[in-house]
Amino acid sequence: MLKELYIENYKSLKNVTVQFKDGLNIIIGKNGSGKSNLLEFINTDANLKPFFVYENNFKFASDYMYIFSYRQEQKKIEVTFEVKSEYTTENDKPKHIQHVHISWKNENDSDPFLATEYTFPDQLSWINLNKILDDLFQIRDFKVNLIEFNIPSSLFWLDRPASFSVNKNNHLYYFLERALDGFSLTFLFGYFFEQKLYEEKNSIKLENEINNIKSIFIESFNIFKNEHNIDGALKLFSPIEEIRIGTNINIYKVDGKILIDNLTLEFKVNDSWIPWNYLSDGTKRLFYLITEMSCQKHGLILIEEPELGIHPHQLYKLMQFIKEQSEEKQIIISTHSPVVLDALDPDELDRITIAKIEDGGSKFYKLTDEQKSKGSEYMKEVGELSYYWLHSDLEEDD
Amino acid sequence: MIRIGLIGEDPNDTKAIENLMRQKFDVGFHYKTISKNQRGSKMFGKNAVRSYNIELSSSAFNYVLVIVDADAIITENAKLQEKKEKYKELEKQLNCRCLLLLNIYELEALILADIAGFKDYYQTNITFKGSVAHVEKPKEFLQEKTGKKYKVSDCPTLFQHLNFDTIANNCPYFKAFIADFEKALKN
Repeated sequence: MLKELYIENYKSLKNVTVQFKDGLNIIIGKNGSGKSNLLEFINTDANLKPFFVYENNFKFASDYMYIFSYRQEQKKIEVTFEVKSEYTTENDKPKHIQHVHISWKNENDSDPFLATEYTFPDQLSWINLNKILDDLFQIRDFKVNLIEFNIPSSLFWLDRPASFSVNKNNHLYYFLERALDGFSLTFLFGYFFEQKLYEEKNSIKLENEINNIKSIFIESFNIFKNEHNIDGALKLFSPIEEIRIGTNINIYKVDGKILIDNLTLEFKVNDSWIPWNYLSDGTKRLFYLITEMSCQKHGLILIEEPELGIHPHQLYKLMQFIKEQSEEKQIIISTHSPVVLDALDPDELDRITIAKIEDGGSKFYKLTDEQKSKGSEYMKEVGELSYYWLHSDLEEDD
Repeated sequence: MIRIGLIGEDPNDTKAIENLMRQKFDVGFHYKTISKNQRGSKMFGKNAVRSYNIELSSSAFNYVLVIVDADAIITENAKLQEKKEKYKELEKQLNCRCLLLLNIYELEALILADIAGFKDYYQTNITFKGSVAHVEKPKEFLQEKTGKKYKVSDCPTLFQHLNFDTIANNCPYFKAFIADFEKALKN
């Protein structure tokens, strides 16, 4: 769980401390208050993906810290990371050295924190972090996923049928990797990387499976769908009733190569099977949100404005889904929607964070006791927390 | 510090009146719009009233100014009475002392009361003579005369430029309201 974040000098985040809760967190704030910058930072750096220094005078040497705890085998370990970055140049090339101090203890353990240090000659990568976690705690898959405003532009398989060829002497796993080329959705990555078939088949020569390719696709896709309850969630929370691999896949053998043509997904809406491009923009976004969340079993999910393009009634349902999902994973949402705020119960007001611009930089605040009390009054007397947001001073000092 | 709450049919109306009041009652006064972004008759709705009382109980106010458009000129007694009754009903439900500013026909009547200030602000040749309380639809009048240059959203800034005393002198109902306000301050 991402518990606390301290950031210096990242866009509008000049000197920021933010606390988060387990489960659902909602960030509100006016346009330009730094909500998206915060999510972007978490996605880039909590995930420890490669970061590019793109301005000469920009120093990504900020000291930042994040703390999270994991549940594993019913044992809660509180882990504290302090990551210090040094930005230097070597042979005119940017060099990024990171020192990582890790301390940890088991929950309810009276012993002091145990600690160790790592130094990386380059920027710490997600792979390195996972290796440390694995070494120390047998923890894997620290995962952060940002679901942005826009559906990713590269939608191989979705917005156009995929066609590709592979050498018939390749292993099946190569074929599957080739099929993945260009995917940008967790959902479709998951389809191949999480299903057992991938491991089982990775030593099998493709030419031995040539007659089974179509059934392999369909069988593995169905296993994946069921494992993640994709159809169930889509049916409950979106206009999509079911999804399937398109029925018109063609497999050809051509000069020692195998050509796969017309690989696509189809969507059942109003009892008809239709392609991606026939879905409305709102339905596409619901598909994106629901499948991304369903396919990530734990870790952290960041969602930028889930309300975009979604009908209020549908958004109400989507928030039910998000709340259910937040029972198993941490979710941080930025929003401008009253419906999103109204998804909270009276005892959940500490899940709200308010973003503001102060002294030229973003600041993030939890509700004060007075605001929480007023919020509860609004929920009790008016029936809607959003009424407090829309008509009172929730985001402003008196 | 005297704390004044404002309730109105439109956020532009409440902010405009706040800015006008600040010309004379500024130092020692704190103004706050209670329940922002209300529109039209929603200001009398059940949820709105509940929200006013939550706000009034969370911070102490000496008075609440209730700003209402009469949608009628001064001779239309029945319509004016109807609005006054609505106000009285609201006043009964609020946990604070209240004062009514009933604009005749609407907020723009106050602008007509200082037409020179308006003329200067928009750099137009507009003229107005007569009683502001007898003008039907003063907003449309101002828009027509300025080629739609005048917009309701200009009011908060415009009212900083209009002259408080000129308005009080030329607008009997505003003058009476200020007299009530000053009397209330003494109590």
